[in-house]
Amino acid sequence: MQFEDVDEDEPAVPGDVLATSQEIEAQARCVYLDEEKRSRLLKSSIFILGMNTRLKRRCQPEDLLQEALVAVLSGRRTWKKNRVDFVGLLLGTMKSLASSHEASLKTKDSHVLVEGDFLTELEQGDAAGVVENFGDSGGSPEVAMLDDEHDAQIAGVFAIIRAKFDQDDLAGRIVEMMAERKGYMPIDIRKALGVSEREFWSAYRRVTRVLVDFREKGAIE
Amino acid sequence: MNRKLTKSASQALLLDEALKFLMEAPEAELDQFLAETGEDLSDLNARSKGAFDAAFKRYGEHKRAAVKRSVAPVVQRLQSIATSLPTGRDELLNMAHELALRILNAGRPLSMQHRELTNLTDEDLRQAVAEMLALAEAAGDKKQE
Repeated sequence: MQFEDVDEDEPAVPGDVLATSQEIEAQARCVYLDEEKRSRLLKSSIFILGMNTRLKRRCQPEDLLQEALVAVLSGRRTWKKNRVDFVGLLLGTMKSLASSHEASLKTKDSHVLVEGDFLTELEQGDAAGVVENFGDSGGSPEVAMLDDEHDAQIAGVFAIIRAKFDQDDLAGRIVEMMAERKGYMPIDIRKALGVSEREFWSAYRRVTRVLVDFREKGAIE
Repeated sequence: MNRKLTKSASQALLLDEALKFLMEAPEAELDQFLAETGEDLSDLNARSKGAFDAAFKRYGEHKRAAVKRSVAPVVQRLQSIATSLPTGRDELLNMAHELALRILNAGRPLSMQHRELTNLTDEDLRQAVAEMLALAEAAGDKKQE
């Protein structure tokens, strides 16, 4: 299938170390020869597609992985070596391509816009996500009020997800930390909760299952 | 501006959180997650290899197209020269001989790549003479510099 790559590459900033095309080709060959890394990338593609339901109906995981590889090899996506390793670059590119194509498919599928219900949004290619766009309040009382409304809405989403788990469930405590929205990585959460890796990841997997279901259906069964 | 949060914005947030699991989870947990979703995990090795093979092939085509674009002006120039050459075979052979002397006298290397001009087809001979003419012109330009 033909991917619509409308997402722009994140611009380089001073201090960024850009890989050459030869380095990129060499890394791609290395990953190609590493069966474990290749398989992990395909699993990642399966995961990402699972979160982009319109695209999933039209695209195989192999297509998304292939498209990300071509984007990187051809220079449409630059590799800032100081920020991410090559596999991380491919993961980010798959996420970015899937998001932008999903948004494009959503626009095509939406025949009617109800006034006041939709806001044109820009899906960004990095992990910051759309929410970060709302962080710049501009300072006016009206905007501050709308930011409060936004924060309340997000808090509501996490509350619904939290309620899925029992009070003492480790998974629930993980959701509570996510709800703080301080950019915690899994390792930060595990350290804060003081649990073993095995126990933590089992619970985190259950949380992720609920996040994905909620995102897809807007509710929890 | 209506900054009312949309369903998609919260979905983007949930996606970012879910992707942290993807990036960091041990392989076994990721496998179990995918198995629970009923995803097809069969033959990952062959499928991932196929994706890479297809990507390398497309990239190769991309590179060849880029090279073709970069030499297009040269190709066009040679084609233009070829159309202005004499049509007679004897004339072309004489012209080739004179051009070879011009190029060598200008101190430029010239290799016929083990081909005898007399053995070339008419079309290949025209092409060879066009290339020699371009070389001679370049050698002449260089000499003038």
